[in-house]
Amino acid sequence: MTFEQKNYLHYQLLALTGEVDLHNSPQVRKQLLAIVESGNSVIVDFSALSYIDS
Amino acid sequence: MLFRRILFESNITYFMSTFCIDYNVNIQEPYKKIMSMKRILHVEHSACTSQLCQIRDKVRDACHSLAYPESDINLITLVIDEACTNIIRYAYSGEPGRIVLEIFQHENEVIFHLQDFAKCIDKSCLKLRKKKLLEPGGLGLQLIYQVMDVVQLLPPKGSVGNILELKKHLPKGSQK
Repeated sequence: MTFEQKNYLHYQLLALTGEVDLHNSPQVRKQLLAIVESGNSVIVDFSALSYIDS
Repeated sequence: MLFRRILFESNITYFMSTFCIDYNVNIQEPYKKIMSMKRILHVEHSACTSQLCQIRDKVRDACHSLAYPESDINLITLVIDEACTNIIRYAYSGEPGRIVLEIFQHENEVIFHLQDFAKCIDKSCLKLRKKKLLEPGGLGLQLIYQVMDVVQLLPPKGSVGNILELKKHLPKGSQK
């Protein structure tokens, strides 16, 4: 799994690629929390994600 | 002549009792079914999150070989991943351990066995509990029940561990 963060209008866009599971979801969580805690709104792009668990 | 016949029959009885394994006596009832099925996959992995990706790949390959439709393959892969995740998180609680995955098939019946060697869990752990939509936890179990035809916990083969048995029928006409 890889992710890319960039500015999109007045949002932070987090684009995920590959597969997200219990092994790498803490990375995604950490990244999302960092964006939210910095006061930004976030859009998550799942379009290049081939797998995600619950 | 009679003596020779008695001697012959007693030798046969000795041979049968010595060299033939009576599976009906030794195998627990829930495992009898799989004895007559073809084993499609047998893999063993450490109960570690880094192994999940490899397990999913093996499940996908096995499901492709069984000719499941693509939509079923994705859902079955998700279900096995969810079950493995539960084993790692709750059965082993992050401690080292092993997970054995076996897949058996006979005609359109396919059985998945996921075995761990942690403490035996109570069957009530497999009960679905009513939860609010956004409440965390328990979604994996809901997915497992929604996708699979049969979900049950088998008694362990030894003194420890659990075997989760999942069944998912192949659509008629799709088995190879």
